Amino acid sequence: MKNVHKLALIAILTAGAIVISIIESFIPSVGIPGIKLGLANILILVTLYELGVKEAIFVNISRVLLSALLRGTIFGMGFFMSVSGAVFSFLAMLLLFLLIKKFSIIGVSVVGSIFHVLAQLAVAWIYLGSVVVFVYLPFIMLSALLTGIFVGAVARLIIKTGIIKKQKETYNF
Amino acid sequence: MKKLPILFLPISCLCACSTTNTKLPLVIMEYYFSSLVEVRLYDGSREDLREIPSLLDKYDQLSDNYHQKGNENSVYTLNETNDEVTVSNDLHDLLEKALELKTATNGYFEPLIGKLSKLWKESLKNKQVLSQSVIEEELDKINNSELILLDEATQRMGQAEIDLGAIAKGYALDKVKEYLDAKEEKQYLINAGNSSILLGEKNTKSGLFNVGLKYYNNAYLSLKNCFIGASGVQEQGVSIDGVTYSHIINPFTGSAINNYDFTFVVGNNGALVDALSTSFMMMDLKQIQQIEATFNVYSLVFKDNRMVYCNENLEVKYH
Amino acid sequence: MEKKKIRNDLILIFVIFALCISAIVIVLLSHRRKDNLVAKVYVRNDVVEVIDLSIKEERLYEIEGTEGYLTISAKNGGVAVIHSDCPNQDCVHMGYVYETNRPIICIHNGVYIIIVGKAFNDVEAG
Repeated sequence: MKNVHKLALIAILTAGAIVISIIESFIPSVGIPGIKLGLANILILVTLYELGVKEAIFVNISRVLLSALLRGTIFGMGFFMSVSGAVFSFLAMLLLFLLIKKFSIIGVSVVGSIFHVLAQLAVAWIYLGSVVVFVYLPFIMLSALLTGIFVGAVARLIIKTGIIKKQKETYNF
Repeated sequence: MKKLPILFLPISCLCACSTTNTKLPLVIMEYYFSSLVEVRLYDGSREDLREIPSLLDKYDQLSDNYHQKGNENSVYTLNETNDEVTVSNDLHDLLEKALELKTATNGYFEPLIGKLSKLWKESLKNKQVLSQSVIEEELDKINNSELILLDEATQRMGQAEIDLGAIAKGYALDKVKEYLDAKEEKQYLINAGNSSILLGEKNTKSGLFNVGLKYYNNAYLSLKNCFIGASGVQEQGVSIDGVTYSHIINPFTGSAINNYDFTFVVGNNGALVDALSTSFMMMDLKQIQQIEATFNVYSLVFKDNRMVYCNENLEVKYH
Repeated sequence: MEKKKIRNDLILIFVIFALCISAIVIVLLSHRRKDNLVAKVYVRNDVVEVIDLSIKEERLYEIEGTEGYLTISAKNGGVAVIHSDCPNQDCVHMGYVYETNRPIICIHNGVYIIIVGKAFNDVEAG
């Protein structure tokens, strides 16, 4: 990351993702406390589509760590759920984005969102040692689906405005 | 994964509705041994069922030490006189078993505790603790009395009285089991006043019965093909000044205060588990474990609403 | 190309939506409100309390979770977490639950409460 402008852009995206994460933590979750829908995926998706995989990984890791630090929940249960959600969601999106290439940004976002909640649910399952958590699976999946569509649509809008493309062209990175 | 069925509740409900065509059990409920006895045959004939009450009735008559029931010589007759009494083979065997169990329980089951036990019962009815002098007098009587069993006659020597209440129900269940085995019955449940229970197999695939612990919320065990003896202070105990006095009297000290609230013994002999559940109320856990190992029985011990001992072969589950 | 992707998206969304809705219907249908219910309180995988829901009067239970304490109230056939030492308080916001298959979960404390039917005992020893 030799380009200062690029660095600044990544910083802005990271900051945005952190803000969204923190705002999201005030939204009560469906059925199982601590399960987050992954609204911050908006900016992860934008980064992935516009800047590339490495940058998206960087934004994602910083977001998870910094928002947990800011909220004071690092290494708590919520943190592990957040990490696993972020990791699996990102891996799923990466798979669709790089290899399958059959879906638009909205489809990628929906799959990411679903994997985000599934991974968190799996952590809850392992921690509680009980499959009762899966009673809420359909409800959580539905909200993940809606969130996924929303996130995908917003990311698409942001990309369409061409702000980042313009930056890239102007500052040549 | 054991809670996975929750997800399939609707399906299982449908299945449950469609499989209710199993045969209804034959049931008899009558009072013997001053308690309600429930006899349940799941897959038996009415003729086989009919014989069981007469067996229970016979041992109820023979073992009763409060009233003369029937006209055969019984424990009551023996308590009335110090003379030699001619007894039936059945009573002879029962008395022999009682003496055998006295040895087996290291003397904690005392067939000659009758008089002391009666005095305690009367005293507790008036919310009074039996005085130490009476207790000592009665203990003396027990120590100086003896039950003599000969082939031709039986004699009670001394002033102590016989009380087989602790083993009569279990012994009767042994006889019922012999009878059911002879008739090749497999699926049955005989519950003698919740303190002595004989389990065969249930009419389900596993054949296991859910045996609830009456005074311990939602606790239960899944068992089959065994005898259960249960003793506790909850049913007959009397509380005076915060101390609970039991109907089970320690034959060594004459005290009515037990070590535990509830004991539950599982084994393959009715009279034995009955005598052991009573004796365990007065033993320490080490003695209990020794006896468990000797006689191959499994037990649970409760004190102050808590399980203080559970044999590793028993699994207490909660609803 | 772009059109084909949008079509794939719509198929994906529709399939997931249909799956979710049917599963939700099944779960909602499986909710049971009966007389003979008990609430089982678990910490991780151990039952720490079994609450009889057939008793009308309110009873409070203090449960020690993995991170802090929870206060559980049971009354009128329902059970609720009324206080919890956890950051998001979602278990408290759930209020009273009366039916089976609607667990109250407090992931932070490793606690979950499920309502189940009182199983039938063949015989009571006592």
